[in-house]
Amino acid sequence: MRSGLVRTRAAIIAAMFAGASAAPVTGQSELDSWNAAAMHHAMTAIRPSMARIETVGGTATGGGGRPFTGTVVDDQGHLLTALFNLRHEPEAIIVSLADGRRVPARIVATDTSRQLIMLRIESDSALKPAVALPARDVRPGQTAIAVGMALDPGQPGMTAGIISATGRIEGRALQTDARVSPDNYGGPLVDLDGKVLGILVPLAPGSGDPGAGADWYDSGIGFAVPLDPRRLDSMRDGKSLRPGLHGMTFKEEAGFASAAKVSAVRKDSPASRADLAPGDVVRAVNGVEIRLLTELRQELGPLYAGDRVEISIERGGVRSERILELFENVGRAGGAD
Amino acid sequence: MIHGNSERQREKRYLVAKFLAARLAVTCWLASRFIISVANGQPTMIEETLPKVAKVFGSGGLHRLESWQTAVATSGEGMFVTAWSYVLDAGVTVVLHDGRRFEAQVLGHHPRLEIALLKIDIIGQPHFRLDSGTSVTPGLPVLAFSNLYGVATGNEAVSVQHGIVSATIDVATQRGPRASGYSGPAVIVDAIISNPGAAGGALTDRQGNFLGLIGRESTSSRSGLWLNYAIPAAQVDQAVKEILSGRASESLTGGARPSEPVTLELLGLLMVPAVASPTPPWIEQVIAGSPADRAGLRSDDLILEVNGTPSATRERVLEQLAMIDRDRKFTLTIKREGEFIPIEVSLNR
Amino acid sequence: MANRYNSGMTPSRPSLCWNPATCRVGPLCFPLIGLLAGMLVAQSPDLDDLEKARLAESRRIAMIDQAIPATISVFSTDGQGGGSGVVISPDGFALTNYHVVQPCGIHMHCSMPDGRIYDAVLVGLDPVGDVAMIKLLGREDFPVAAEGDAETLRVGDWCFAIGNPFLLATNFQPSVSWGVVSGLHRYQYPSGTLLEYADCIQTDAAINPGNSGGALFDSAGRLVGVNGRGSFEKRGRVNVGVGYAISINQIRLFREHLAGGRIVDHATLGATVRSDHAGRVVVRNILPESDAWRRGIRYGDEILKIADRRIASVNEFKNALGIYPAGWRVPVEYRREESTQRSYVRLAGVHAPGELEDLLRRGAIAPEPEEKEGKDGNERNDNEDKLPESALLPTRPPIPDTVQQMIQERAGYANYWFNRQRQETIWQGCRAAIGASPAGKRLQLICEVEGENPEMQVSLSAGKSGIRIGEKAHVFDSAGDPWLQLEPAGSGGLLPALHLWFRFLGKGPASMGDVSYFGVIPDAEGELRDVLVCNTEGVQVRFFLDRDAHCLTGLEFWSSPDKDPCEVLFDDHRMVDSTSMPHRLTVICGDLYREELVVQSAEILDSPDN
Repeated sequence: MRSGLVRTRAAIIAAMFAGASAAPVTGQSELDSWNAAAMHHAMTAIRPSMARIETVGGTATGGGGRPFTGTVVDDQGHLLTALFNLRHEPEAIIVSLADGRRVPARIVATDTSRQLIMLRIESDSALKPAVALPARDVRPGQTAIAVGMALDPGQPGMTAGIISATGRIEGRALQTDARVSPDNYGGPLVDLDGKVLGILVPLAPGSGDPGAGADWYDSGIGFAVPLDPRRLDSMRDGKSLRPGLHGMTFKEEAGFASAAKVSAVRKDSPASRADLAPGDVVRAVNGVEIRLLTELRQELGPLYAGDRVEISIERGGVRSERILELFENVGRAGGAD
Repeated sequence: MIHGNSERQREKRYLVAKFLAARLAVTCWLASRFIISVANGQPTMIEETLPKVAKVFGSGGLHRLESWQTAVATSGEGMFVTAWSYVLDAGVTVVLHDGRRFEAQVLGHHPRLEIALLKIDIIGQPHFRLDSGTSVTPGLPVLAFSNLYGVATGNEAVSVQHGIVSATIDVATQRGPRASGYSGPAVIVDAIISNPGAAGGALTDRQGNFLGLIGRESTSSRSGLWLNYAIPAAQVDQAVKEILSGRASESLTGGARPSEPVTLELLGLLMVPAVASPTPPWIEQVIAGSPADRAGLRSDDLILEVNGTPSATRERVLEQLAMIDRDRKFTLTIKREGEFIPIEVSLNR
Repeated sequence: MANRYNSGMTPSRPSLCWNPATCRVGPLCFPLIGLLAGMLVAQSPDLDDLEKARLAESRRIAMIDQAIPATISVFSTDGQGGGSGVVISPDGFALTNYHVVQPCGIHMHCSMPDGRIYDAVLVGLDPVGDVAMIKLLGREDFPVAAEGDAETLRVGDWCFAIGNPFLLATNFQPSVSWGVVSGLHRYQYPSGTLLEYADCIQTDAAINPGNSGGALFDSAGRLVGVNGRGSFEKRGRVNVGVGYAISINQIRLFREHLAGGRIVDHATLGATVRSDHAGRVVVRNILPESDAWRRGIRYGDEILKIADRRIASVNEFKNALGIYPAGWRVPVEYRREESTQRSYVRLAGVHAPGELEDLLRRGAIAPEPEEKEGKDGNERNDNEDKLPESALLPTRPPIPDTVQQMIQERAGYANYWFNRQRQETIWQGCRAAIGASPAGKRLQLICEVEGENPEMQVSLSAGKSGIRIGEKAHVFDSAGDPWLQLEPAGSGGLLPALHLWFRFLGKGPASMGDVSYFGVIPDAEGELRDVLVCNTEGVQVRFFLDRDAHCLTGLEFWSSPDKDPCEVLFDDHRMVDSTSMPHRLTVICGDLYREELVVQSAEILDSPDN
């Protein structure tokens, strides 16, 4: 009985279940993590660690004279900014802190692998350092907010996006689609809580020039280098960091699929000292198995001059272990030491 | 299931079922309206906002200059505000989202804010309120509506981009090494809105409130970077009011032509020649000892206004001077190194 | 028109403009669920904006995690360039752009987020639509992108792109960029006749060089497009907030064509249009040899609808047609004076036969050059010393055997190997559906012709076939040319069509001259069918087969490409002895000839001679 109604109801219920799985409940708002309250929350957390930096003098070609951004990394007066901002080697550096004070700063050390430069200000009151999020906790899709002080002296400027990828530029950087430009180079890329994912710098694959990558500004491809407490310690000690040179050369015989087969070894290099020879195939770096040249570069990329690397090579079917002590990349760009 | 129901009963049940289904349909339809506004707000807002933004076609096309831009409706009676640019110099056509085309009248413009007001013959046009009073602070999520790259033609809606407010600051902009662009308050966003054809588009919040008018493509004088800026709603509102008040109508109606008007020769001014149309009213040279020299005009000054009336082009300046009796003092507002300077000029010593 | 490709797709999102009177009950209830969910979100006072943001972030991360595994980076084996792609089947078929594979040749490397590099082989090309299909080798369980429906997108919806911009993914991890749908049904002009982006999706998710061929996902993580283009004019090769993706719905229409190893052309009506002063879209030029002309469309006619899409601008005309492969059939509604006509029009190719191949062979392509590594082709690295120039010359490693065996070059095909595979699969299925082969036998049919009195007797064999209607007899002799024996009059060649059909039933494609798998297109009734094209003895026969059962559902007999073919639809299959025989045949030629034949008796005789 009531067959018509039963049928109708059955159809309705069936449709409801069909609808439940089909109609996307995740609408626009449900994926929107960039609401005003969230932005404000992140900004409030990072604001005390933001600095606006101005310079006097220096070479014109380095693009000097423009205010830029720095990030306070400890309570002893150390700031990081992008090497890009200080290419012009200024006569004087003036830092405007969040509390309104303007104080002189000097260069402590540079990191020409990650294009950073550390400044130190003399301050009688403790600064509030930015809190870093450990690099291993960063995931693609995570909210990323780039913060800069170049636009407005009174208030940080913000651009928003997501983490696009990790381990970029041979394992050195995070990639974000938040707009990154000279307006925020030297500033932090932060998460929803204002924790630092990395310091914004221009980078380009295969180039060590501090200006390289700036032509990608605002392209949706921006980079931030995560903070490594151990490396910051050496910079604080006035020790500049340089990319590590190993002296091996490789030929890409199969494009991206090329093996890590040594094609030449530079004289008096770490590789030659470790008795490497053309034809050797690198099989592991610091215990990480290597199949491809691109993987080798990914492992070696983050390392600095002075670092010791244990590599495993294969020669004539026999594997052996070697230690390389990476060389300084002598004669490369950099600020004062 | 019971068999043997009479035809009538079956029919009745069928009708009841049909009625319930129809009622449910209406309920669901209403519910869907509600849902979209609650859980899925943005698309509806966007769909409601798109008709408020129009495509503008005009002059250009030469020297690789695009001949289109964007405009936003500010009244139901066909008032549109847009960027003041060479696109408006001849035969302006406004094309609505549904493809309807209208010849537009340029009611007037505000040279300092680079805003122009258009009028088309329409009623019931969906439009923005310029005075929504939404507070704009860094981090505010925004949407940009514009016809960047002229992607939309005919009955296609303009493009939508998303972003947040990066900063609200005063800017000075450049258009190439020589020409200075907009100077004044600006909303800077992280959406790439500094694009060909985007000028005159709308910046809104995620509720569709008008926050600003997308400015002309230009770079920051400070950093040299392309600047993604909009002229804030308050300034746009102010400009529209100023255009609609006497000054705009004066420039349109004009007055009696004097028998002995002011000329460039009498002033001792050489303007940058009219090589391209339209040529901005740049002063090329000032003859030493001439009335222009005495008044303090200099080469490279850009004439913005004559007696408070905007002067968009070289030709316009000549027209305006031709309306001034040579016995009378008048004021030229010029732009020099990013500043606006009124200069009083008199042909008599 | 039934669209099989859409079966199994999730229904569209509630739209604003439902008419409750015409809508079925089912879809109307979707919003009810949404309403409940919506109220949960809206009425939770505890969920402040910050928590909403965190929730949104974790959902986004989960969705991106889900989408990443099916995405690929495409590399030329000589390291000379590359782009992106996305896997759409577990056996490794993947989509990318034509302009990405064009410099790669037939063999390429694809890296995946699992950290592995797979060999891949070119399968099919759609140079006009800038789409290529490739096949990754080595697995039968590749992660696959969930496919969405671009028609459900709305302007302002979130979407995201995954790809390998600037070939940054040296660690196998692709780049994800987030944005909104900026515009729908966009039209972007071709360069020459290639790389036309019709009916495409515009997004402000960052699309940069190297993103080409990569996936655009909707807000539920479903594949809705293949990114391939951006407005890069302003800053050279850097995104300025405007990217374009080819809609997955368009690609679906080409999917089987591409999987069949073909170089596929796009469709044209054979007519150009203009917008007149009243905003109507009217025919400006029409080719007399086009099907549109044969169906009655003339100069000055106003085009109202194509494939049920309203046409109000030239762009809409181009968008409506630009999504179809050549050979597709669409209903066209047009108006002349006050009368509205509706025709079912067969779409021609944009290019003349052979022209597209010539263009590809001459390298007539001017896309944005896809991303290249370094300046000299080999990645530069400051930590490594440079080799002498000679050593840096790009080298292509030899093609591995596993790849080589899937390569067969043939004019007109991207990779004929895949076409042959399709032919074999289909014929095997078809042979099973036919049952016992009637080869060497004679088929006798006595058919009632609906609405007419004399019955039709059909007798088919390898040598001579005949049709007798009442007193009138037609004889077909296989020694003569089929295109000269087009009886009965007006049918377009029913007798030779049935003769060749019987030959096909007996001996299959091997007996049909030059055979090619064409792809999937609609038949005379709008049903999507697999199509085998056979060129033999100066005529072309196209066999239409059921996509699942592989049984023959129809054929078209073409005596000339410029004339209406004889179309025969087969239905009501019954076993005659051990052979499946249709018992209802519909014969159509153009708009004037249509006969319904109902088989009264069917006999298969052992002796071929009558």
